[in-house]
Amino acid sequence: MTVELAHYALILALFLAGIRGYVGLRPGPGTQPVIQALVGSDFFLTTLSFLGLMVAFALSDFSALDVIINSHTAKPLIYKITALWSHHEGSLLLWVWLLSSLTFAFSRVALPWDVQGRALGFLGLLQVGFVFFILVTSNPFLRTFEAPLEGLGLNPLLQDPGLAFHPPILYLGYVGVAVPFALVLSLLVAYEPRRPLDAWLRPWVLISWGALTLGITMGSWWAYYVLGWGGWWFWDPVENVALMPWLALTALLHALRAHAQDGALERWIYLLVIIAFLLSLVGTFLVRSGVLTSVHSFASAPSRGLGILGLFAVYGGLGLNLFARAPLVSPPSVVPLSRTGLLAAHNIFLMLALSIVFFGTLYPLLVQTFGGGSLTVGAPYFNVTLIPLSLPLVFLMALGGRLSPGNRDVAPLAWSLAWAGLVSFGLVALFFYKNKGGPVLALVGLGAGSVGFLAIAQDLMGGIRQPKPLPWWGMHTAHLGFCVLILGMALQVLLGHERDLVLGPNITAQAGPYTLKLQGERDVLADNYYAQEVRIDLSDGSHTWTLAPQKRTYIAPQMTLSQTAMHSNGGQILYLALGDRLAEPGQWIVRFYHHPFVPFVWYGGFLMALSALLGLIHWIRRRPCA
Amino acid sequence: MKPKHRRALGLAALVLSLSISVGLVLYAFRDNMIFFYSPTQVTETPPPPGKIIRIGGMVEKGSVHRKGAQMTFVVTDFKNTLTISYGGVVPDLFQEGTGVVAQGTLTTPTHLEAKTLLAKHDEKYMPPEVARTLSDQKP
Repeated sequence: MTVELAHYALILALFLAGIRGYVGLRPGPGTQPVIQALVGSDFFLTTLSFLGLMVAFALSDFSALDVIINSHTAKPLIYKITALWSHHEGSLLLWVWLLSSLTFAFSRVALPWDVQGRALGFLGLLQVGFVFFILVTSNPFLRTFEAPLEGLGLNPLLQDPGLAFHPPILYLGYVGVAVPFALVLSLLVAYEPRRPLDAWLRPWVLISWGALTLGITMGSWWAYYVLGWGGWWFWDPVENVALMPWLALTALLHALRAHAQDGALERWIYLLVIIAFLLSLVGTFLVRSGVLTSVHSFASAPSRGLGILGLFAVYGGLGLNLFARAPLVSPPSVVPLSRTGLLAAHNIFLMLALSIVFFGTLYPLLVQTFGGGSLTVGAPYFNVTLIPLSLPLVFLMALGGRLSPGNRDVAPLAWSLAWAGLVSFGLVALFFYKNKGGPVLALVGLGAGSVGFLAIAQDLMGGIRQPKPLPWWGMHTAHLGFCVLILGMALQVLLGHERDLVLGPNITAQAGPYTLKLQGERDVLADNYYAQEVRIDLSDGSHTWTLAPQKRTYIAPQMTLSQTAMHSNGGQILYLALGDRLAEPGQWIVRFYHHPFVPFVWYGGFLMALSALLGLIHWIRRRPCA
Repeated sequence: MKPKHRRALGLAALVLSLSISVGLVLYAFRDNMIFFYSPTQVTETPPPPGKIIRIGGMVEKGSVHRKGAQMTFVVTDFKNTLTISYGGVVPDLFQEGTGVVAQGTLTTPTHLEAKTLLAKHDEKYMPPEVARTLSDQKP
């Protein structure tokens, strides 16, 4: 019953969104109450639909096909609920619900009605496209009338607190770009030069960018501790596909500042928003259709991939068409050595990074389509091309942070960074000497990260003495986060080590300063798995920790997975993963990682997400009352 | 410095850094294209020697042998087979009778020394390339 209600609510929402799309395209003053009512009811209906599916999962309603395929009574309740977005159909419903919620939030902000009404209309058209796609190709509400007593269960890799909440946050990031996109479409239809783009777009870009930052960081952390390979980024297509809109949105955030100051980069901003939205659609397409081999992808029917490609063509065509037809005026030209000039240069470098990632991710797809066989682009491609870019970016960041608007006197500020440059150079030379050459890329990252970190730390100290506005703190937090991330990456490579060891009853292994001794084994039984647990004593001479990695066999579906065991003091991670049990009794292969500074990678990500929050707080305080 | 000269210098710096970037991209790309082969493709169109490649297929039942940390097994696409040896920690989803992708270099035309094994965690335990080559086999 709940499932049918949810299904009908969604269908009704489709029609209401269609009406909203139609009315919104001609937003006279009389249409405001109508459209607002449509937005409100759309939000109500999609929430009803979303909750209905959630209830079906929570109660293990196996008359719904979706619940059968993705759930099992033995699962803990929280994972029954999060199973809703663990698969294709449910996650699309989440997408639609997020779109509806953001639309509702957007309708509460005060904007000139002709702009806002039309934007709400475009958002209605987006809603129509996605709900139609769901109902036709990926309906989560399909029923079966011989309801089985048990479901097929959920992939145990997804039964994890980190991953349970990763999709909604990441989706907020993807869907969040829809609001700026709809606004831009609306502004292109009724184009006037020098609209307050920064004021109007900024909060939505911040929500989207912040959510993507948080989602990507959480995904990276999850991959590190669950997948058992001690890596936090694999340049896997699914990761890249989240990174690309993130790069576009970062560029957008900076370009909007330039526009707020001088009205510069206006045409570029309009185009960039369209690009960012199309990239988030590409992300959806690549994740959904299983086209590329990747660490995780939902296997899926080609009709879905084609459907999303169709949506991409429609919205992309619409956006680019409106962009081409709008009578865009040439914005003032950019003076190279000014704040605006630095921001423009930043955009150029980020677009370069974006093109590199785009090319590396999509080239295999192109080759495959034209029959050239199947190929993968290895991680070194991305590392070699992108890490050197951190040098100019950090320089721009350090300089830009010190340059106040209108100040053209860049030279003395550049000199003020000299001390940071010297210290960093010394640090790099030290590691180069210590490692007898050392991995070049990590050294580059170290140099860039430390220059930025030192410069920003200096600025922050100054900021503590004199009062600074919240946006200033936000900017420096984000930049600091980026430098902390690069430092974490570089130091982990330069200082860490990884070993595969054989441990047994009489075998003690040594890895650097660490000694590992096998203490014992036991069997563990839980809700939906049974496991063999191996207790290992890890000692560095002064302290000993007992870590207990496991090999779990899940019941539904039948799958064996390793559960890693870690010890961290906040600044480094010691990591153990069980390999195979060997033929000799009591002997195991164990993978040991010593990763100093790796948590900095995620601290950096969290700092950047925090800066988005600071920016939003600033906007909320200062926004015009509705 | 005159504004005109300054602009020229700025432009030159930009062009230089972009060229270096593009150069790095092309260089890195050439060495990092890893092609996928099925066992049949390895015999029919052998890959250039010494290059890292990926080979995929079904793990033949009964072919997995472990000795200490080393493991050898046979992949098949039901027309040809290839032996693979691997010395690292085996991914949990690796099983006889399911699909696997191995990345490494060929030591002989029928043996691959693998550095990485990929077994996908997806409802259907078969990487798309393997599924595609297997379906291409069916007459």
